[in-house]
Amino acid sequence: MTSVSFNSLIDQLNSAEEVVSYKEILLRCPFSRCNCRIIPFKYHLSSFDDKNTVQISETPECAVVDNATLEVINPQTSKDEESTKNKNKKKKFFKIGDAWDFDNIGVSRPSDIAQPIIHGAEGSSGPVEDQGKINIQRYLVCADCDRGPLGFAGFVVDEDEKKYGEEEEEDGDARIKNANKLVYFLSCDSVKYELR
Amino acid sequence: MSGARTPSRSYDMIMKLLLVGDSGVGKSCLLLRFVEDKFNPSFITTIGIDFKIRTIEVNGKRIKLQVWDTAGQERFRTITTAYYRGAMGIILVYDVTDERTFANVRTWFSTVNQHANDDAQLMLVGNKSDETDNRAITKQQGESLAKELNIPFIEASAKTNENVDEIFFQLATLIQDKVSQDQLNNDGRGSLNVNKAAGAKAGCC
Repeated sequence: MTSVSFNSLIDQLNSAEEVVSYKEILLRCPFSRCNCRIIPFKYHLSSFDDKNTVQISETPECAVVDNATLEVINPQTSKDEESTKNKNKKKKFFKIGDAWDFDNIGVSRPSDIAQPIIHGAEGSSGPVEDQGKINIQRYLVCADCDRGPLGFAGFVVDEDEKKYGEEEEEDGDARIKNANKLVYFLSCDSVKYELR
Repeated sequence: MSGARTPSRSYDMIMKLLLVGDSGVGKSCLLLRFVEDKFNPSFITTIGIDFKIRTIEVNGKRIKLQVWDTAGQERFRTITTAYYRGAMGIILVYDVTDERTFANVRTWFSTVNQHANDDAQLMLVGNKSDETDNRAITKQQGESLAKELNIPFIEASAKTNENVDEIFFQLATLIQDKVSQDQLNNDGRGSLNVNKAAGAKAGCC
């Protein structure tokens, strides 16, 4: 059993054959003294590659796991210049359509701290038609230690139903109804990968 | 993950649980841990948690809980029916240092009974049990109210984390027992059918 960062995992999968001997990948909370089990990766290991992720730019800042130490680099201590550069960089996320797929996750209340709308594209260079607008609403945090953000959740904006999620702050009915339609984006760089 | 749903999911049962009670009794705190850490930007304590998914094991079965915090909704006293829809467990919270919140438990009880599923399992929780100096409601008072309402009771402290996991574990166990019992009653041969338990999903999300 061994734990690695996302980049190391991808490197290993691309270069070493020994990785195939592992049966399962568990995504875990990277923060110190936590290690909470977040979600198992269900694909066969050999299919674990970039195709399973979506790339999104200008996302809210998420925790980043350092390749070497597996410690979390605090996004807020990074230099401003660097942070701006990072912001515009496309980041990889696992897209999860159902909250029940998670073993453990915390979902924040709706908040406008997150940027309201971003563009998401399936795959690295998909056609424009495949891109979707996502109305970011909530942060994902560890269910055990409440630290994060490990990603975010939002609604894929339907052009016919643009008003989704605008009224929920006051109305619990809408809040629940909307929550059932949330799409979850778990940041690939914000979790540890345990190979079993 | 996206699009890759395995036929058999990695759990035996899912349950939607709800935290209700007066404003200020600490419902949100029962969902939050307030880990103090240099990495914790405490953004989450400001925004608050809407719900958490937690996976626990009860009697060898993996149970996924979705726990909803209704904080901020109290002024709608009825909380809105959507919260109650499909909730299998409802946690009535009061503050042991605040008599008023204890008195309001009865109102919450009848509201919940009005809106929740008939078979929803209720539980009474006296929060802030660590505040011995400010305590206004004794444990005995809590116990006797719970007895009167015929629901289980536990005192907890979100601050010290005492009994917090117990709340969810006990409630899940009670619900699981109930569902198993129903299945025994429905199934002439008396064998447990896990598929039926998993079928509970339809009613709770």
